[in-house]
Order: sequence, then structure tokens, then C-alpha cells
Amino acid sequence: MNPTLRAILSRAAKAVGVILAIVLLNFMLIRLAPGDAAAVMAGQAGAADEMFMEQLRAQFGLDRPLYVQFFTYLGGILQGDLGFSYRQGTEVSVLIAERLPATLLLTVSAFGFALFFGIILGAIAAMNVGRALDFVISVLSLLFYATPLFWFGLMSILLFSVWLGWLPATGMMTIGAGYTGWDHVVDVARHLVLPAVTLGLFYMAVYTRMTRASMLEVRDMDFVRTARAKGLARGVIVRRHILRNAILPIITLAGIQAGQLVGGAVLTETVFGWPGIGRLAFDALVQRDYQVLLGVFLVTSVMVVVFNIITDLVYRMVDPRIGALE
Amino acid sequence: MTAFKRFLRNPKAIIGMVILLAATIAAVLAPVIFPQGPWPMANRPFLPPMEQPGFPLGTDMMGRDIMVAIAYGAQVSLLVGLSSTLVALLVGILLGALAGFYGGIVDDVLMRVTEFFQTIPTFVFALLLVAILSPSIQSIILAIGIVSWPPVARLVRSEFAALRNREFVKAAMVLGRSNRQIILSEILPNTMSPVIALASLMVATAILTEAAISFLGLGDPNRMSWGYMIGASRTVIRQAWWMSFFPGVVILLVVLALNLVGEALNDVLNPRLARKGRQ
Amino acid sequence: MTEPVLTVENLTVRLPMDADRKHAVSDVSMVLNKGEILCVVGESGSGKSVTAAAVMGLLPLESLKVDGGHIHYGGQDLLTLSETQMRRLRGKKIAMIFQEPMTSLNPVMRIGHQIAEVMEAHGQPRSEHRRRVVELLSDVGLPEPDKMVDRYPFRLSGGQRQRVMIAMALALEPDILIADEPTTALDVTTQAQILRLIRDLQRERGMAVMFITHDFGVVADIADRVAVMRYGEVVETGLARDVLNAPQHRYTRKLIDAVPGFRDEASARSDESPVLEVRNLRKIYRTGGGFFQPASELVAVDDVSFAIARGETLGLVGESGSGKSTIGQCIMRISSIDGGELLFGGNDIAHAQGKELKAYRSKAQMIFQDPFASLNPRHRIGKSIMMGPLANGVPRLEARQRMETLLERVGLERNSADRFPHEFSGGQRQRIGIARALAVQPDLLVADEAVSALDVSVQAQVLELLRDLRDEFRLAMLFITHDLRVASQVCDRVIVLHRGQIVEEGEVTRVFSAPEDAYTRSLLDAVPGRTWHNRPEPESA
Repeated sequence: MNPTLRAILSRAAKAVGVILAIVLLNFMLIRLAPGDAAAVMAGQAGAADEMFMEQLRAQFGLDRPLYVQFFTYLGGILQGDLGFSYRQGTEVSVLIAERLPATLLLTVSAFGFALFFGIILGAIAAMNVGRALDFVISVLSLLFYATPLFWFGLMSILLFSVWLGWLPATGMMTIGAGYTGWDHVVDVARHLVLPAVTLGLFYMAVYTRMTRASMLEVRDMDFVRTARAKGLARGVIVRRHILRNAILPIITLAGIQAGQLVGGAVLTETVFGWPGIGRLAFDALVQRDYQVLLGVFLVTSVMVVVFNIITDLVYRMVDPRIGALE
Repeated sequence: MTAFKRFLRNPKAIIGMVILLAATIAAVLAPVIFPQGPWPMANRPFLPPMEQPGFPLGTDMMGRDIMVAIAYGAQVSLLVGLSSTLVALLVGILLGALAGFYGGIVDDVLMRVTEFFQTIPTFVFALLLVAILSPSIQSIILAIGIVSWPPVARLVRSEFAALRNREFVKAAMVLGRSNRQIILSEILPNTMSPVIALASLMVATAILTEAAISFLGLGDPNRMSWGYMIGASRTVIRQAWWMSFFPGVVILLVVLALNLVGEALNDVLNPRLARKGRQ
Repeated sequence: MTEPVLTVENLTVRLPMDADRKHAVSDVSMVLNKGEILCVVGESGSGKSVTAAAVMGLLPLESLKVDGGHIHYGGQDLLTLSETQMRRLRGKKIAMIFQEPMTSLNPVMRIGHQIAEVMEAHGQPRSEHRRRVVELLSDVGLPEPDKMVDRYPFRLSGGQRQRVMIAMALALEPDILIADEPTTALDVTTQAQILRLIRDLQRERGMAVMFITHDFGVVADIADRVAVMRYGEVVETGLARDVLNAPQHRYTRKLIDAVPGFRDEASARSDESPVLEVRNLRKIYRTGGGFFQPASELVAVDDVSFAIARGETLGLVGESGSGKSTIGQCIMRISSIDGGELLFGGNDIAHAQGKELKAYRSKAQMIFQDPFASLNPRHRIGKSIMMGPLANGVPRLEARQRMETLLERVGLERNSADRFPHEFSGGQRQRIGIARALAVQPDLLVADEAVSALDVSVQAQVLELLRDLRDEFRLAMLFITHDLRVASQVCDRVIVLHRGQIVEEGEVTRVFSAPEDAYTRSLLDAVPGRTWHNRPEPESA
């Protein structure tokens, strides 16, 4: 079998396993909640009367053995049924589907921002190690690494929209402006700047530190000495030999951290009123609407799994050793 | 020079330890200096900072003293940061040691579990746990602990797997020491340096996570916390910037201090040459 | 004929403040003539590699600084050139190859591209790169050069990678090739091939080669002239045959005497009953295996049988991958066994567990290769040595007595028991390792490459100690090594392994002087300095 195809297949099989495990985890979490599962599904705090709860119990077969309940639950999910939000009066899947694009836009932009600037800053710092520029970059990344992102978001609203009036504070587009075409794109982009930077800043700091460390490590490797012995120019050595090898662990790390990025989206969307699933999760949290929360958890997990597969494939393209060694 | 002395001479360590010491003193002495607690009204609402003597940081929308709230908030942050890291270390070291030492199928199973917990969006999972277990300091500690052990497990596992094949461990096997003795006395002490450095970074992350959970309104309702202060003043940020500004700065400083200490520990305990293992 | 191309004059390189001596090299002078191979030889820490790096301008800037001296090449002093000027010389006029072929190539770049980079860096027209690279690859004897161009390094063996490095170094026909221990990391047969290749290419092209090595056998094989270094100073220079056969300096003489040679007289046959009998031992390594791929199997040890008697040393020799270390680990039961029997005192302990295994381990011990990895860095050495007896139920007082006696027996002081491993040199640590093994009073001692990591003078002392201890304690010793010369020094009988199988077995002088198997013969032929070793013994000083 073609090694790449085999890799994709084995990765997909693993992904299915992970998703099944998440469904199982979800199923167990429902049972962990105070009150029985029917109460969880109905939304806590007496949203439904006892009759309705009885009806739910029967509907979901809560009187049947646990494994039967699990397979019923799993079957529902496979058909795209993430449950019903009695608070919002809508299917959870519909609620999430409406908001997924906004979240994807935000997280992918933030990720791109973080990766791009993180690698560049890290490389600059590593090439100037011990000098002033390295110090400045290192201190900045240390600061960003320690800043709570929701606080940074609030402060940036205060500075850039309240005091300076440069950028819009909340939302994804100017309500009622009715922009179309290019104007619409610019409008969304202006709304996107602060949330994307806020969400990406922490990860930028992570990638900066990591790139710096990785480059310093690769710099001392034997093949870099070989490159110097060939009489290559410094720039060529840095680009072709150091950076290309130093970037490999960053790709792996980026894949692992995708999950945390989605988590950060809950905070960012809450601060900036960004109409994505993070904001949806916050509202559900306030109302203890567990069905929605579990749905968000499942969908974001799937997002992460998909993202992991993508980074895996990227890694495979960058590192020639992988496909062959397996 | 001993590692401890080198640590005390490291500028990162000095800055970090000073800030942490200040936070610890605030947390411990808060009930002594401010016996009234953080909740009662102390002055008029929305008092800006530096306007009245005794209220350098101003008051919030209920007239509560922000300085007092910050001092009490240190209790929650430090308590949650330390306890949840302890939980994560216990789980992570146990699983990592077993996986790394025994290898094979044990390793496979445990690492699959670890990978799984690393794949899921940890913050969303922590939120879910706190929401379902109902918000309290215990549930927050548990939730953060449960989502933060995987890096420990991975680190300990890779150290164990590497050390297990080191000759001194083989020598101990050949000399007839039991697996338990080998794990506890030969390998574990040699993995502690990187674990200690990681642990201080984990306390930092845990404090950030606790702040984020409280910010979203899931904090322990009976305790004042920095994240809660920022979350509660979010809607009035245009009128009263100081209400969210100061708690944020304090979080930043404490987390920064922990990162500095972590880096200093790394510098001292894991010098690069020693980690590479060859000249 | 003696026309100098490179002259090193009074070179002095400073070490960082916290080092154990002031200079890495001090006041070093040597001349490299056109068309000759100059071997710079010395033990670790002698400053030989630093000298080479200084010529290339590749000293690590943060730690090593040139304090004085000149390096003359082509009418200029290399030490005064700017980085840009130096870069124009590197790869073009002076090329270099290194010790570790496995890590010296960029893992994510095709081989052809890595060689072409040299041409690119020195302004050769791009259109000719590929043709020239293929030509070079075939010059250094790589198979299928036109396919090799597009391969990545991980597909190549260590020897092949070193050939790629040589091709890279030769790309622009440099005047000087600096080779820093280029064969040290290679198996002996590969080493012989690479040495021959360097020698041939050097003759063909009239290059000057500065060859750094620690091995006098290698010197004997390729050097025209020799410079011997110690503690950063040159102690002796001269024509290779003069230095090798009539060394002037005391240190050179000591070094050459320490080089193990082949022993002539057979040792007395041990007629005792065997302590350990290995029957049909098999070990298979399985890797990979998953949903969509089959597991691969490697038979590391294939149907190996032998026996060792009390007071006898049996050598296991072979190249890397021959299974020799695996056999040692199987015997010590730190690696699982896939087939066969291990008869120890009449009982099969191949799968023993619990009490039975513990009893076996109090009678069988091991010493390891790496003196830096074989002691727990956090335990005082006294504790390390007492650990075995204590684990086997010996009372603490007696364990302590044994430890102290053994410390003295292996040549260390009693009071060193309270010190930590990092306070000892490599040779001393190896002695501690030996004391630790002997503390449980074993009948069988497995020594896995026990002297391979040591400098030759230290090596000789440790070998001597092992020999004495074997006789004193009447040990059965299994001595695993890749070095046939060492094996010849200590072993009574020897087993030659190749790909997990025994190819030849017999009394050691017989096997090494009249090998019956073709592979044994090729191994022996590859031993560096073979003809020099069979020299008449020089009168000892």
C-alpha cells in the first residue's frame, strides 16, 4: 500500500477512535451531573415540570440498561443529532452549525497570526542571541505568555476602540450597515483584528520561545558545521539548514495545541461578542444548558482531531523521513 | 557551586521569588490586615484609584475596596494553582512512570489515554467539569488537575524510557534490585529536575485557567478571585477601567513570576550540556 | 617534494575560564606538505580536533578564542582573514570531513543538493551541478550514483554517508582535506574501505590531508608523517615509520606500548566444567505493526550455542548488528529470550523468575561500556557498590567491608566511597563498575565493550586489572568487543559473530592467525595497522 495512503487511513482510524472516546466521555459526563440525565437534557433549574421529565425519561430510554442507552446516544450522534436545547427551543446541531463559520474564521486567523509572527520573531531572536534584540523579543514573549487573554482583550478594547477609536470593539460586522461585496470583507476584517490578535498573542509567544530554543539547538548540530565547512553564506545556512530543521518540532506542537486554541475562543468570543460557538458555550454556561455545552465540546473536539490530521500531513510533507521509516 | 546557590544568583529567580513572596504574604495576611473581608461596602461605588487616602486602587460598582479584593484573590489563585498542580503531578508521574518503565502494551494503552486527554479542547472540558460538578474551589482544582496531567505524563514517560536503558539502571537490575526499588530509587530521582521546572510552569498555567474560569462566572461564589473581579467589571469597563485593570496586572505579575522561576530552575537544574549527555 | 601548503606556527587557543587548564592548544606548530598525509594523533583532550577546527576557522566562538600564532596558507595568514574571506576558502581550497557521518548531513535535504551547495556557494555554473555530483558519487564508490543523487541521508548507512561527505569535500578539488576522526564511528571493515578511499583519492589528486586520529593502527595504515599531541602540545613530529618504530618521546613510547597487539602464545586450556552453557539461543526484535501495516522482524541472535568454564575468558567479537551485545543482555536476563536454554549450574535459567532469578543474579554480573552512564549520578559510589550485596541479603557491615576491600583492590582509595561519580575520571569509573560487579561475588562476569570508551593508555590498565581479577576470583568471563586486538589480549577462546550467527569459534591465537572463515578473515584484514602490529616487539624502555 502507498505509505501516504496508509498513513491517512491509520490516522483516520485513530481519529474515529478518539471521537468515539469523546462521545463516551460526553455520555458519562451527562450521568455525572446533579440530578438524572433527563434533568440535564431539559436544562437545569426547573425549566421543565415533572410530567415533561417523565416523558423525556421514556423518550431516551433512561430506564433501560446503560449500554443500550449509550448506543441509542451514539446512534443519535451519528445521525447528526446532538440533542435539543429546551432553553433556546432549537436543535443543538442547528445552533452550532450557524455559529461554526465565525469560530473557524477567528481560530484560523489567530493561528495563522501566531504561527507566522511566532516563527519570525523566534528566528530573529535566535540569530541575535545574547544581543539587545533577542532580549527585547524574549521579554515581550515572556510578557505575552503570562497575560490572561481575556484581560488583554478588554484592555485592547479600552485602548483601541474606546480611547483611540481605531477599531470596532464588538461583534463581527457593523449591524445595520448593510455592506456588500468588498466593503463587507473589509468590515469583517476590521472587526476581526482585535479578537484574532488577542487569541493569537499567547500562542505567538509560545511559538516564539519554541522557535528560538529549537533554532539554538539545531545551530549546534553537526550538519550545520558541515554547512559552514562548505563555505555557505550565513543566510543560506540559517534558511536551508537551521530553520528547516528547527521548524519540525513546532509543527508537531502546533497540532497538539490546536485544542487549547479552540478553548481560548470561548474567552475571546465572550469578550468581543463574536458570534461563534465559543459565545454560544458561554451563554449555555450561564444558563446551565448542558446539552449545548456537550454539543460544543463534541464539535470542538472533532475540529481538533481534523486539525491534527492536517498538521500530521503537513509534517509528512516537510520531513522526508517519516513516510519511509514506518 | 550547588544548584541552590546558582538558583539564588539567577536574576530571573530573584525577580520571580520577590513577586511570589509578595503574593504569598498578601494571601496569608489578608484576614489579619483586612479582617472585614472583601465583600462589604467600604466607600462610594466607582471610586477611581488614588482619589481618597486608604483606597489606592479605588472601589468597584458596589463600593468594595479593590485592594482588599486583590489580597483575598491571592488566596484562591495560589491555592488553586498549587493544589491542581499537585493533582496533575500525582496522576502524571504515576502514569508516565508506569508507561516508561514497563513499555509495551502498558505504554501503548497509557499513552493512548494521554494523547486523548491532550487532544480534547482542555479548557472547554474543564468548563464542562466545573459546570456539571457545580462551581466550587474543589471542583475547579479537580477540573484543572484533570486537564493538566498529560504533559507531566509525557515528560516522565520519555525520561523513564530513556533512563530505563541507561547502564546504571541495567546494573541495578542485574544486581537484583526489585522493580519498585529501581523505579523509586534509581530512576525517579533522576527525572525530578525537568519535572520540577515543568511544575512551576504548570502552576502558572493553572492560575491563568482558574482566572479564566472565574472570569466566565464559574468561580467559587464564596470566594473573591481575580478572574471574577475582571469578569464582573467587564460590562462597566468604559466607566471604570481600574476595576478590571488592576486584577489583570496582578495575574500577569504572578504568572510572569512563576514563569521566571520555572526558567531559572530550568537553567540551573537542566544545563544544556548535561541534558545532551555527550560532549 | 616537501613543499609546504599549510604551516601552523605557535598556535595558542584559550579555553574558557572555568576549564581545567588554560589552553586548548598552546604553542602548536606543524607543517603540512603538498601531496602528503599528516596524521595528528593523540588521546582525548590532546587538542588535536581544536587544531583542525582552528585551521578551518570553525572554532566555537563563544568558548574558544585564538590567543596567538599564525596559520599560513597560500601566502596569507588564515587567522587574520575576515569571515567572508575565510568563507571563500572553505569548501573550495580547504575542505573538511567529520567524525559522525550519521549526523553530519542535513536530514531533510537530498544528497545531491547538499553536494551541489558547495558548487553553488563558490559560483560554479548551475547547469553542471548534477552531472558533476553524479560523477563525484561514483568517484567515492557509491552504488547507482544517478539514483543516489535524489536520496535523503536516512536511507544510507554510516559508511555511505561518510562517502557522501568525502564527495562533498572533493567537489571543488581542494588543496587541503582535513579529516577529523572520519572513521572512528564506523565498523572496522567500513573503516578499512574509507581509509583506502581517502588514500587513493589523495594519491590521485595530489591533495594534502591532515588526518586527525587517536588510533596508531590507522596512523600505520595511511600516514606519511605524524604529529603526536598531548595536553594541547605537540610532543613529537616525524616520518610515520620513524615515529611508529622508534618513538623518541617518552609519551609516544608509552602510547605505542599501550596499543593492544595480537598475542602469539596460546593460553593454557581450562579443563574445568562449564559455569554457563548457552544452547540454541534465539532473539527476535519486532518493530512496528498496526492497523494497516505488518510488523517487521529482525533475528538478532540466531541459534547460538557456547559454554564458558571457570577461570576462562571467552570473547564475543563482531561488528555492530552482529548480535554480540544482545547475547550479553540475554544472558544477564535484561533482555527477553525467544528461544533456547541458558544452563547455569545445571539449571535452565532462561525463563527463571522471582527467587530463582534473584539467586542467579547473585552469581552472574555485568560491567558496561559507558563509564559515564553506568553509575547512578545521584548515588555515592560506596552506595552503588554495596547495593548488590544488600539486595542479596548480605548484612550491612559485611557489605561495607566488601566494598572497601574491593575499592582498594581495583586501585581506588577507601575514602572515595563517599564521593559521587562525577568526581572520577572515565577509567576510575570503570574500576568502580568492576568493583560493583564483584561485590556480589559472582561466578560469571559479562563485560560488554568494557574498555571501548577509554583512551588507549587507560584501556591497557583496565584490561590488566580484568585479567588479574579473573585469575584471582576464578571467574568465568564473557568479553564482548568489536576490537579484535583487545579480544586477542584478554581472551582464551573467541567466537566470531556475523548477523546473529556464529561463523567461527576457537582458541584465540589460532582464530586470529589462521582464520578458517572468509568473514573472520575480512575482519582481520580490516584491522588498522595490521602489518605494523605484527612487528617484532620493540625493546621495552
